[in-house]
Amino acid sequence: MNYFLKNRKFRWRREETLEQMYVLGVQSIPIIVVSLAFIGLMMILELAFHMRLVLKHDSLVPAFSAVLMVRELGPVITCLLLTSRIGAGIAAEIGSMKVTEQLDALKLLSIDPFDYLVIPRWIGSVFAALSLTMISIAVALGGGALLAAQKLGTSSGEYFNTVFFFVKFPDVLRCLIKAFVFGTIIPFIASYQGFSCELGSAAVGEAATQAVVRASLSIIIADFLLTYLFYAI
Amino acid sequence: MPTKAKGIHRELWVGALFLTVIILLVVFGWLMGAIGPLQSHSRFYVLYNFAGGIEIGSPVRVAGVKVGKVSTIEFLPEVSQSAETSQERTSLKLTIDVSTKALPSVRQDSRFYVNMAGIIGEKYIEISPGTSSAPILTNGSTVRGVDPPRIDQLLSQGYGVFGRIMDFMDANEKTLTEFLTGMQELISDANTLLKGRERKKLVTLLDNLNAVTSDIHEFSLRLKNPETQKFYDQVFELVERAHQIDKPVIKQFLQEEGIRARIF
Amino acid sequence: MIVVSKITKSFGSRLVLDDISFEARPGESLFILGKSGVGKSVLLKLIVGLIASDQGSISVGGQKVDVENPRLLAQVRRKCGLVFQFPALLDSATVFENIAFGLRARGLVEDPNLIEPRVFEQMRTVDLDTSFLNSYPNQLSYVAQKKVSIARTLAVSPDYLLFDEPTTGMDPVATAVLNELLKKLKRELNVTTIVVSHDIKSALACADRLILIDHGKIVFDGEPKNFKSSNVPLAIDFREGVSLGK
Repeated sequence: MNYFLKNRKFRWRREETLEQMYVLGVQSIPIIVVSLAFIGLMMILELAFHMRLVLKHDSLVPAFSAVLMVRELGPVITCLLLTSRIGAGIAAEIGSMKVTEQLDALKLLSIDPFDYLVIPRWIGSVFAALSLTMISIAVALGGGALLAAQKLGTSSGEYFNTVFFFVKFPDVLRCLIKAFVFGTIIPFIASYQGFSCELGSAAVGEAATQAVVRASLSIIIADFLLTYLFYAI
Repeated sequence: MPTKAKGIHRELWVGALFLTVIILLVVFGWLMGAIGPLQSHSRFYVLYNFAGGIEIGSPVRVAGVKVGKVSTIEFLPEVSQSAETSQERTSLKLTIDVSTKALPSVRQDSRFYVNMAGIIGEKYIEISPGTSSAPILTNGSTVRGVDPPRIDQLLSQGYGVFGRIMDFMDANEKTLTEFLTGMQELISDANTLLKGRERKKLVTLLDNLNAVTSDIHEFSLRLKNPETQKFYDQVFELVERAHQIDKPVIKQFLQEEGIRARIF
Repeated sequence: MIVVSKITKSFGSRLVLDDISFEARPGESLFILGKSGVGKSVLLKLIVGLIASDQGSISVGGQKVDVENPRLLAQVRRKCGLVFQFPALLDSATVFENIAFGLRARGLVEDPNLIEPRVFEQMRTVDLDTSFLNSYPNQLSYVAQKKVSIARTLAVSPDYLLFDEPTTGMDPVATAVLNELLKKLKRELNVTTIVVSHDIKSALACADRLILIDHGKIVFDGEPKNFKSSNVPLAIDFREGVSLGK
């Protein structure tokens, strides 16, 4: 915990930061895009089924699915997937660095492990969360337009008209704020678990598991708080 | 362990991702109307006393087609008087941007309504196309909009009336109760009368009444046949002549006949 | 000069170091011997301030080691180089980057072009094949990793060199290279070295002084020739190769 509290001056580590942006952001594109595309399609089918059942009408399906996507599922599912992909990795990496005394070696070489390990991962993770959220929303909306055209007989123009009547630009900005918060939660919780890891390889595994569990839980709670702050007050 | 990528390949990917996100953000902003489309606009100022739910960003339509949006809403200070408009005092000034392609329809006699669309209830400003004889409205003009009906005001007036009725009823509760009780008694009395022993009498009475009216009917029919007509005529003649018998005639008659009578 | 005075350290209820005092004089090669788990490594970590002692004080080159004061601690650490028992190389960096790491971090080399010659020099010093330069630690043998680790520590030219079990897991050739290295460092650079070890052969070959720790206490402190004739039970055990531990 001491690492997180000390006064420190931050240094821009171009190499490490770029590496993390690549590893956390670019390499997560496939899993996120595929998952969110299918979640978007599933949501449209479900909503269409229910709306037909209850309202005998499905013209508002694209709008509702888009609202849900932009406000909630886009950032939350993206970041939960990101947590399972990178959270465990960060915790295990730092944990094993601690176990193999790499952290001590860094300190003795006058390098602050927080500065060297956490800041680049933080920047990388926020970058990943923001960019992947945007891409996932775009993919979900695009997939929704295609499915709506195929399945509901809604033209893409009609689809986007309905969508953009409900989804306003501030929604997108709020969604990005969420992504920023979640993107911050993941590396900080994961590296905290790594830094406070006990010695031994079992402990590294435990740290990785705890990182995913705690980060996921924190994301879900933070999402509720942010939604409450944005839309309920 | 994450795979490692080196040098230009890695930077290219990160840069591409970054660029994609920026492009997406701009596209979203443009589609959602936060960033203005890349076409020219004319700006008008519309004055209202009541905006009926218009918000910043509400669409502006000409003949039902979306051509722009409300960009600002500003409260005018009490004293502000626009020389271009009437002497009327207005409290709201809406700035609207209208695409130049719609300008030929926006003329000086166009009217600016606040409308509501569809079941969703989206509020928008509808500009009715003006007549071709009126000049086209110039950029930067200030016009007076048509205030939408104050449904809220109507409701509040309605509440006022109801309120007064309530007050009246509260104040005269006793009288009203008495009145109602009296009415009730009356009705129940009438009921017993109709249901009780008196019913037979009433029926007889009604039967008699019926007979009388039918007699009268027969009588009046008889009055209308030609013999009766003749009789009428005679009676009229008689009356006519009788009418002429006025005081002097009677006097004369009495004098003459009376004298004769005295003679007898 | 490193002065350790009245150091006590316990982990939980286990007392590891009990009122330990000694000093390492300038240019001296001091070997600390002891069985496994007697807190030899703990002693080194106390000296560089990676952990805090319960009682007592340590000073390095006249500067007090204070874990609470990051600025002073950084100054102490700049004077020290610690070679860990396990290589502790950054596994996401190449051999070259690992060795150059400290040079860059401490800003010891102004001109980036001078980093490479320094790295090569250190690789030669520890007898490491320069073809490994762009390999990652996990592609190297344990001995090679350990050599990289030593090269990394030597690269920052510390005034005080601390070795934690340097010869553990090393082959006899590598051990000989290391022993030569220790002698050379003392001879040419007058570097003060503290070596924590259980390798009695290396100790007797290289040490100016030997300290034997048993049950948290110093049981022997003296020159190798005195150690050979010491009557301390543990010294006898070490000499005769009985109950050898870490």
